[in-house]
Amino acid sequence: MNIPISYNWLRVHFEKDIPAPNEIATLLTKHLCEVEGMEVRNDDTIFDFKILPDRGHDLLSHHGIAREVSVLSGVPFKKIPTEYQQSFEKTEAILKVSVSDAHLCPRYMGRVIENVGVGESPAWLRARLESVGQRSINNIVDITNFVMLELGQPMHAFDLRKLSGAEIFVRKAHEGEKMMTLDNKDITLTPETLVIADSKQALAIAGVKGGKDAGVEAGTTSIVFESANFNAVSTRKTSQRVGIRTDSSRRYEHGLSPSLTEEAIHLATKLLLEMYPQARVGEIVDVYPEPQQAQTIVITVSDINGILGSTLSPDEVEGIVVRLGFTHTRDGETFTITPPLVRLDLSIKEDIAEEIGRVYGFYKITDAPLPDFAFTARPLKAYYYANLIRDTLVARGFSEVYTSSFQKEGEFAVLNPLAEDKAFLRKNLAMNIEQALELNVRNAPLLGLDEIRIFEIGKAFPGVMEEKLLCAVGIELTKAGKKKDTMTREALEEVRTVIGEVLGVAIEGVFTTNVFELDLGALLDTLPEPKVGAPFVSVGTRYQKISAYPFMLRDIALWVPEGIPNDEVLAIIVHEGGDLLRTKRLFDVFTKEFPEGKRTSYAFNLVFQSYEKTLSDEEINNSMLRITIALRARGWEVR
Amino acid sequence: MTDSRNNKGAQGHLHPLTQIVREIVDSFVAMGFEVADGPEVESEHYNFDVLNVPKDHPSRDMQDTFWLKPSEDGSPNHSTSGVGLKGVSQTVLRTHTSSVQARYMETQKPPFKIIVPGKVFRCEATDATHEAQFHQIEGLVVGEGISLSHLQYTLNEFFKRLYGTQATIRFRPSFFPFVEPGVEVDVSCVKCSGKGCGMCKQTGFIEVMGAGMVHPNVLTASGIDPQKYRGFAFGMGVDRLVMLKYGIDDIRYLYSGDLRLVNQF
Repeated sequence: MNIPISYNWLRVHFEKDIPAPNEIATLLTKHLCEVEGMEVRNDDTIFDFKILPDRGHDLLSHHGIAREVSVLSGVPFKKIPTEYQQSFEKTEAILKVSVSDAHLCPRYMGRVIENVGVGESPAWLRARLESVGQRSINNIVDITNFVMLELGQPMHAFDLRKLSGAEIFVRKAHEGEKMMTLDNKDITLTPETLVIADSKQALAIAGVKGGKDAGVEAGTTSIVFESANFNAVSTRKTSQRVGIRTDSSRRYEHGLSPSLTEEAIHLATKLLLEMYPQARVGEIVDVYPEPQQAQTIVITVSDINGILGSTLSPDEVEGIVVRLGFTHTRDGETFTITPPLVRLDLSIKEDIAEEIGRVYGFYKITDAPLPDFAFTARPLKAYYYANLIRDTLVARGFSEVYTSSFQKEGEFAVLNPLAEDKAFLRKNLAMNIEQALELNVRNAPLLGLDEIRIFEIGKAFPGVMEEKLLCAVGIELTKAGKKKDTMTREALEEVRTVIGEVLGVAIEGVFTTNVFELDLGALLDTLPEPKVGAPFVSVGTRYQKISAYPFMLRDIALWVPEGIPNDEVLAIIVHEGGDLLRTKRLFDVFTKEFPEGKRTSYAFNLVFQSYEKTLSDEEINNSMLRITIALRARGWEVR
Repeated sequence: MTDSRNNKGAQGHLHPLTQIVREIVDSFVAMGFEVADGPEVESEHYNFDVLNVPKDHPSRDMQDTFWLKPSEDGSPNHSTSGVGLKGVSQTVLRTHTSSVQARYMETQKPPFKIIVPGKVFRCEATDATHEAQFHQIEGLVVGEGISLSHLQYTLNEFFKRLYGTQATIRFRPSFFPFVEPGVEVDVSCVKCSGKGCGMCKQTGFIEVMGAGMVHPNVLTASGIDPQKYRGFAFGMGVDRLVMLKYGIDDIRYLYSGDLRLVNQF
């Protein structure tokens, strides 16, 4: 979630100067999160930070970001003071709170404040809110918003006078219960929805939006401040159900620590007292049946260095832990760490290692080559044979297309399709290839083609829970005349034969007028394990700049035992030939009986060319020598 | 390297996605990685549960993930209570190639190094930069004593193979449920080599992948002892690399079957 943060607001948290805005941006980019924007407004700079999802607990606030600036820059952090006088004239109303479901509302804090008023906010408060794009509403609402933007804890204020008695009920809504929101939206509630209510009716949708009936407005003289913790998942689902997303619900969705509510209610009280020193402040009512327990994590410096690949010393680790403000004890190289309660993201060793690494700087990590594993990579049949067929078809003038996995009709339905014509997974590739042929026939003159020849290799879904790897080849002969269908069929039959020859098996498949489709997945079971997994270089299809220097030709011929595919030979030639080998072509193959068994002869044309100079015979002879040595090393006879 | 058949008029064209996938896969195969794959129709178990994605995580919502109707009567299979029956009922179109991680780990003993290319799906409205289907490549290495340093070495090697010896990478903090620590990987801009230009928005770097150390919960869920083994994983979007490399302005062309795109390659 992105959050606007004001540089001037951050500065309130420090007595000393902090780094300039662009330095802050660099520091946080390296150590915390992406900075998606920076805008100078008046005498301020507004950052747009993209807070990582696991830090929504504590960083959707100026306090949280200022803490990070302190950790990363070393400038000491100063909390915004929340202290105020502690003795007040007794309030008339005594607040009571009852919470029906502690899972949905782990903590509810409330307090009555009387003898206050509603009016304009002081200039400083309006300026703070406006600097980060918030509109000032009135002093009370502005205080709750300010507290949320400062501490990340959403708050709410009810007009006590409008409540039926000073008792708050946090409960699930009744079926069909209605509430009008502050912005005049009528909402019909469902029993999954948690509401804040008085003895008669719902006053707010918990964590999402306040209701009109208990809203603070001109004439309000006594209020109830709410500083509560609501369940993340239930708040998100409620927000989706009622179609209202607010700054408050977004924060609850990340899951907040219940420990935050206390600081928030004190800050709000203090700010209100600054405006109304004569206010009567009631006791805080705190319903918190299961207080949050601190996490304790034991980690050694070896653990940290093992995960990060770093060489941090125990003292360096301790220095970072101290900067982070984590309570800790140290025994040799073993640390027992207790992160602050707001850091809900830290519970295992790896979390601490990440935290240390982040502050130290991931960019400082050095390379270490992978250990020499006892692992032998096996070629993957599906990858190897799909690519073999691709090369075979491309060599015969077919172009590869990718088409949508969604279709308007099929057997396997999508529960939440993007559109009606994408309601099913494609049941075959043939239908998509037919459509692609139609599209490309229209563009044939533009493409400069008389024949459209295309293919696709991909997954199709012929039935419920069925997934198949298919290959479909399509041909449209735009200039074929009367014999078109026959000629198309002949061309498709030829494709079948060619694929069969390359794979060494007979190919079954389905013909339509324009398309031949085969079940490649089923075919794979009948094919031998490939000897090599790669390379399948992107031959012949990438733009190559043209060399100004002449090219030179060489041929090479060799005997290999029968069954060695020419690709295996070529891979060695390509590898040894290096950058100077521009082009290769197999021009002759035959097999002959020898006393020791059948052998196959391959002969290749090789073309050498440099981008930098005219090649000498000597340079090419060296390349040919390397190729010859490598081929002989396999026990093959180079002729 | 040009093949002579390119000089003939009859030469067809390989889709640019295939080309980039090959380049990437070949680089890792040359480093001893094994190519692995998995199904596009995936169980909630492999796509989310074993990857340490919380039961109620928003990415499982119907706004983000395509859910499928596995039963003949078409009854919905998406239960919010989420009983993740392995490979049976709660069925999605995989949202990432990370779903292959646990499938591989369950059947293979460490150490191993795999590279997984494949098509993935997200339920989002399509426009010039968003498609509901796209391609990812996932890498996974598990062994004894694996660290972020090994990840960085491996990715540096890879990008030098892909973009030339001047290419460098840097890590930034990030978050993905299935890794801890998690990092974002930037590569020095291919156009300006890190000096700053329009392509990299003057930063000198381009964000190319998410990565990190495999979360111990993921190893445990796949039957691998996290006390003994550690691993790293990374995942990158292929489509964006294709678009950046060739200046393709609309992702939808990649899946339209249109030779006006393909025949330029």
